Amino acid sequence: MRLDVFICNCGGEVKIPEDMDFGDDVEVKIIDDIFSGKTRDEISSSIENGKQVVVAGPSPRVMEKFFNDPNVELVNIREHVAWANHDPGKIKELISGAVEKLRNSKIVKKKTTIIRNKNALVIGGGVAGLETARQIANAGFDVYLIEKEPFIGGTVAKLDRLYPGGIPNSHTLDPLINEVVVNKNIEILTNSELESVSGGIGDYKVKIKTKGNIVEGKLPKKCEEVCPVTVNDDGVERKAIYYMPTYPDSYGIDFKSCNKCGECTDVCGDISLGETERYLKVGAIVVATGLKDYDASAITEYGYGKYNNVLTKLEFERKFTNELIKPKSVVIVNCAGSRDENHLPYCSRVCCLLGLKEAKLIKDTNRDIDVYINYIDMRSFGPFEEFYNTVRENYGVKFIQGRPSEILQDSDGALVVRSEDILLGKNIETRTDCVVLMTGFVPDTELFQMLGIQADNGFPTEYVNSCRSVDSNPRGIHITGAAAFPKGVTDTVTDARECATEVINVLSKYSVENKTPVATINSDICSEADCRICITVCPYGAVYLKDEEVTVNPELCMGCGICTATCAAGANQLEGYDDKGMLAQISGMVKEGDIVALLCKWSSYSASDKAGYERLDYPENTKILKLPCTGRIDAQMILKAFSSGAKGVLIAGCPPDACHYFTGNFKARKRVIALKELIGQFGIDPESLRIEWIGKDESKKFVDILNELNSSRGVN
Amino acid sequence: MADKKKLKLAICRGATCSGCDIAVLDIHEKLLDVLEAADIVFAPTLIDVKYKDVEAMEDNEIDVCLYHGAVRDSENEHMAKVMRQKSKILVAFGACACFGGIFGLGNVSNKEGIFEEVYKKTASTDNPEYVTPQTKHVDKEGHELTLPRFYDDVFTLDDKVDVDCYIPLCPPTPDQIMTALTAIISGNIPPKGAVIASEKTLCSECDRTKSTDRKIDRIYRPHEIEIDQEKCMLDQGLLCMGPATRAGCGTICIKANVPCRGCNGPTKEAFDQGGNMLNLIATIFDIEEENLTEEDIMKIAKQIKDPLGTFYRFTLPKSMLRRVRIGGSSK
Repeated sequence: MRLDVFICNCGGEVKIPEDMDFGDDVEVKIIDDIFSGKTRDEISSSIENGKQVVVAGPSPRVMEKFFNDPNVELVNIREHVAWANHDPGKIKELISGAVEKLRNSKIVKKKTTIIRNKNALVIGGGVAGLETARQIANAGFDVYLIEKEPFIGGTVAKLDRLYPGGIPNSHTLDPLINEVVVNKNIEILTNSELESVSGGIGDYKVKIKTKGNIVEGKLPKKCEEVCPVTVNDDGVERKAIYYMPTYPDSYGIDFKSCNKCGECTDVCGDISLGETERYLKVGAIVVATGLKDYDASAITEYGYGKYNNVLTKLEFERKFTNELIKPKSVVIVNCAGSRDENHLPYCSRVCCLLGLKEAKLIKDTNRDIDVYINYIDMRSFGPFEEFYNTVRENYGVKFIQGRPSEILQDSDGALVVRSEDILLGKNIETRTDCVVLMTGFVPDTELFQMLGIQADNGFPTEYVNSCRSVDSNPRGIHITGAAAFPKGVTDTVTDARECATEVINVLSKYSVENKTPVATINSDICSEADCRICITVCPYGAVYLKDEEVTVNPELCMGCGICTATCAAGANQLEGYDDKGMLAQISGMVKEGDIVALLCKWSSYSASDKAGYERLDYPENTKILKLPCTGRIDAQMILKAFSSGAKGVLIAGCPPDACHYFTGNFKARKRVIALKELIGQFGIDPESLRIEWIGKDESKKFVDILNELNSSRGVN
Repeated sequence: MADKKKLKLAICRGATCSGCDIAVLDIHEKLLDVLEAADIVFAPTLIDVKYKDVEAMEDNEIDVCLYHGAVRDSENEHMAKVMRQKSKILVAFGACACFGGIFGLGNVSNKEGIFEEVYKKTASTDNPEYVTPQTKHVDKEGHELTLPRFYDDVFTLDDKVDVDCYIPLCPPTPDQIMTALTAIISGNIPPKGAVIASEKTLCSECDRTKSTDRKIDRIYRPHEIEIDQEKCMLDQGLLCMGPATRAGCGTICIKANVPCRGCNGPTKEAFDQGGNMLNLIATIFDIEEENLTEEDIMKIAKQIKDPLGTFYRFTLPKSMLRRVRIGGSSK
């Protein structure tokens, strides 16, 4: 016996016909509770004995929790037969399809990865990195924390205070730094950057480049005095060798500015200006590289870089609190370059709040300074509405709704901010001696590329695709804090803890299993670099050229099957959904006059289940097949359905822009529409082939379309 | 090797243009090597051996038979069966025997449709009583004349008889023919079902440079543009069947600046050459996906003139749908 078929009558809800014979190589067992411990053990032992298994019972949506294995084919006989009030004879046809699929598919091997290294690399020593490192280390795992600047602390260390209350940054940062620095499980490497990375989850090999050295507590102030290089560090001048009260407690060299003149080494022989390389092996990587300001000089009409008193938010805060400027009035320009097709099309989420913070900072210092905020919309979400109201009502900050069109300098040196005041409905000019541009934030594209993180608008796709911010892709590489998308300190700390939980989850295991089916390339057939069309369609960059060969990175592949369906040679196959298996399943279950529904498991398949529990009427001759994405559906499957006797074929997936894999539904649409023309030539009514967007709750739409298909002629 | 027993070679024809016969002659002087190792015992185009002579042979008397052409009428089928019985190795020779070939396009119609076209509708036909060929006719003197029965469908050779190996292409190249014959002569019989061609797709043999984004925003027919000799045909919007077709021909058409038409058939893991190719082309239609409308897709799709004839030019009887449905049936 090679194949075991378990058929569950769901406690008597499903009537199972007498004749359940699928051939000599198939053993059939009728059970009445799929979830009883005994049955689950029995099924698990079949799987462990290397048998292929069909389990027929409730929807895969329900069964998947227990039998999530590509070698187990789940057949839905509760929602799709019993609850739909269809003839039980359909059960045999559906199971026959599943049996044929398994007979013709390759057995999928387990993809287990041993977590060899019980440690993590955290990139970035700001709040996100510090908090993540602290949590991972507290769970007992070693952490390498690397920071490219000479000091840890990140953006927050450069700030004076945090919104909304205006508490000093030290409230958040100092206890965190103290705890991290003394933690024996954490090794901090400053002036260090990631040079290269290879390997995968559990066994990443990374190369770290460190510039200079740390000479703790030994350096005399003289080192700084002799340094000839003066640097503008976000509004405050300092030398290329300088001190910052975070960590290390040492003078640090800013190698971006250092000209390696050697003056400081003459004063203190312990200082090194050289570079060292370290090769580390880590089990997981955390990206906590934080915020990077959008280049304000790109917004030419605002005159940043041209007028000395047009400042970025960080420059202003540092200059103002260090009493380097004493303006009489300040105009804060929100959304400078944000929500603007020419600059950053997105909202950076925290700039409105930072603007309010600067306004309050000014008023807290000197109530006589006039403060204006130019804004498009105030996005002081959640509890911050109160913050906004306080700043507006109690502090007398003037709000002008309108994005400035330009900033000019008058002959007397004053700045003139031209904008429309939408609420007054007229153009206004605000004269001031200081403008603060609340520019948005940009992602660290270079690092994302090195780590193979797919980006959308520059930010990691997983984050943009909502609800999945803590998932990692590639596996074992986690993004946290503002590196994923701009966020404030509170959100960053929460995010860092979530991320640490994920990392601890991985490191605490002996091995992890990748249950996502992945695409594989048959290099006997593939034309490799000479074709590489499948590379261009992958939404994750998982298909790539490695030494001139088309290769799938299983750490990145999400199993959508878009590439598989694109390959015209059958060289690219998706595990568990290979061509031979799918075609055999279709011909195994479809009979003359059937309607075949090829449904995406994320949306329309759920709608078909819903039609079942709502007991909606739809044609009994409907045969439903579940796919990871409509992007997996190719012409072969559709043509096979017609050649097996189908009189109608429905392809249904997620609504536009809601595809789980971003573009699978669009690819399917192109394929199906183009195919309509062809089947018309074959004498099949093009209207008997339909592609529709059906959301997971749209059971009525699903049923209506099936009824329409069933009443059509089917042929020209 | 004078004392080694010479092989017996046959070349049989079905529904064919005879290009495959000529292809055998195209091996030029190597024909002498072949003739040294083998005697041609039956080949209607080359030697005068009658059907009845073959029918009289012992079973398996012939070592190798190259059968070219599709199976289109009862005579083709009869000879396919005879050759199967008399030959140790039966080779489907050329695209028609393998997949139906150009003759396979007959499956867009049926006997009635084709007869009506040929014996009634064509401009040069003057046939008011619509006389069509009959399978049997007895003349006034009582002589019985017969013609083979014309089928509704075109079949491939392996639809009717068991085939040992396949040499596709239209027609097979001298290289492929010699590869097969040399192997057989030297006793290296290809495994059952072998296709004498590459396993890879044609792109592997193609020297043209490919773009990195691989998109098509407009489809051209070859006469509509000046074809760049260096660039991938697909990248130029030409319907080149390369990605859906086996390699092995040495890209002879592409070297002549003509897109691949797919005569080497699909790879062993692909089951519908035409559907696969259309599927691939549609996937790479360069349309802003976020704003995709049916009209946008149809605008490019409509530029493909006659998708069936283009994508199934050589493989219609071996495709999933096999033929065009006429009057609501698949007959």
